[in-house]
Amino acid sequence: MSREENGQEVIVCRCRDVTEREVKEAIAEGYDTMELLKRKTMIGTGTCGGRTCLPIVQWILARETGRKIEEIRLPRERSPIVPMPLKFAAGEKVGDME
Amino acid sequence: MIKRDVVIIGAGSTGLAIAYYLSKQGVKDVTVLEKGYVGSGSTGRCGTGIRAQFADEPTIKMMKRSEENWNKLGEEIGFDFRQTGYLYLLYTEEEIEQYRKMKKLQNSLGVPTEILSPAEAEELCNLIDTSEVKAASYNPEDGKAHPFEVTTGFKKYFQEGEVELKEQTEVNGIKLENGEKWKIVKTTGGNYRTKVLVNAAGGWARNIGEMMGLDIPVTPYRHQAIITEPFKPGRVEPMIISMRHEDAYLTQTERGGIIGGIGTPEDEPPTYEMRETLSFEERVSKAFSSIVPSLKHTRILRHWAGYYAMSPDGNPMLGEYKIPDHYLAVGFSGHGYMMAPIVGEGLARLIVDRKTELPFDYYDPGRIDKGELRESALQMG
Ligand SMILES: Cc1cc2nc3c(=O)[nH]c(=O)nc-3n(C[C@H](O)[C@H](O)[C@H](O)COP(=O)(O)OP(=O)(O)OC[C@H]3O[C@@H](n4cnc5c(N)ncnc54)[C@H](O)[C@@H]3O)c2cc1C
Ligand code: FES
Repeated sequence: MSREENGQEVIVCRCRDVTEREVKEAIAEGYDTMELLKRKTMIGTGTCGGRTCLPIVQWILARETGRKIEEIRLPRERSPIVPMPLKFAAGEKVGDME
Repeated sequence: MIKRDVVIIGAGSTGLAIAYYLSKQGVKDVTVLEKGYVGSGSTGRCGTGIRAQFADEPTIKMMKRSEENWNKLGEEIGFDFRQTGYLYLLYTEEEIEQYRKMKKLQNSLGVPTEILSPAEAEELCNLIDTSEVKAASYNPEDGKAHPFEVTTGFKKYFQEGEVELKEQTEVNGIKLENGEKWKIVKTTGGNYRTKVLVNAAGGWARNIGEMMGLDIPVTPYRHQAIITEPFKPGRVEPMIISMRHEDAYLTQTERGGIIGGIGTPEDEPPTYEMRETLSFEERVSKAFSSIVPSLKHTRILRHWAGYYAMSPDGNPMLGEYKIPDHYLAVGFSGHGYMMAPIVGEGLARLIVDRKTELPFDYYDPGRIDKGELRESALQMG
């Protein structure tokens, strides 16, 4: 018996609080690429930038759709690489922090 | 060869809305061809804003009707059109004068824009720094809708109906047959034969034209946007626009992040490049933390780029063009998303009934060749 059937929800994206069940439901509804899953469920859009959840979701998507993991392209990395406070991006130095 | 009555190229907000209203008009054989996925062009990259605050009569009329359609569409296909208003912050007497004039015109066409005092603006969003704001222009009927919900809403609606939506299907050639009656559309997913062909390919409109030997004067300019980490929703409800800060616009999404952007420097040449630039991050951060100071501490999560597909006069080109039953719905500049529902309705009427009561003459693509350029529509936000 899987953990889900066992009554436990498995969180796959802890930044955005997304469960394995939500990801599987989205895939069943036809959101079957990483880009679509990202926009539908918000996986990969948290403060860790998807470092934790994207490989897990990639694996779930491969399994659910019978594809090889290498066939599943990850969403493109976007700037900034780590979340950045507006005031740093605006050029204020770290020393200026109140 | 697959035979269809209407083939639409591009599944952004424009192509999807045209397909929707054609099916409402009873046209059965409609196919939308999309090289990526729904909304993968500029639509999914846009700032989500929908407004009727424009400076020219045709665009105000179109947007008044478009906002009515956004409401109906939201109910029918299942997304939220949140009418939280557009708030233009005005810092100088000249700006106030300009927006007062616009307000008068907008009011005369049924758009309930008001000029607010700084204190009234602050009531709408108490995070704005109003210390130098002299007044604000506000239309409570303007608002926002999330493009992902909208485009996937259409997709689901079509799955249950008769419109055929082909994603991951790229058009790579067009041939005309039997005079110019039949258009043979070659794609990575087979060939289509159609009488009516609609070019709704956004920033790529010119490439589609070239396949038919036409020069469609639409040029892609890169525009960029950001989203911040979420915080308590409801703190920044209106779309806030500031001319003092390089035409910056920002608002909070339903999920709590701030989405928005800033104008592209005028000397940046047109490009098909969709990469984001670091200099944008710096400029947008300066602008946003000056308009809403508490955003200083908020973190940017993602940053992306898309196109403003510009026509020579900054107004869309809508209607039949040069070849019988070949229609354009292109050149939307910075306001194609908001116009989609009324463009869809109007173009469907043009295709089926050959006429519409909407001011489509103003947007007739033939105006460009005749040299009858219109005044550019207000581009901000
Ligand atoms: C940063 C930014 C912010 C914006 N903010 C706003 C806003 O707040 N409000 C607003 O109204 N507008 C805004 N816009 C403008 C808006 O995004 C566009 O005007 C609108 O999305 C245009 O929609 P479209 O359907 O015409 O084009 P697109 O969404 O670009 O759709 C065209 C589609 O055609 C497809 N295509 C192209 N070539 C081919 C081919 N050969 N075969 C098959 N398919 C093809 C593309 O893949 C694409 O999906 C903004 C734009 C940007 C970049
Ligand atoms: S765990 Fe999904 S974005 Fe961090």
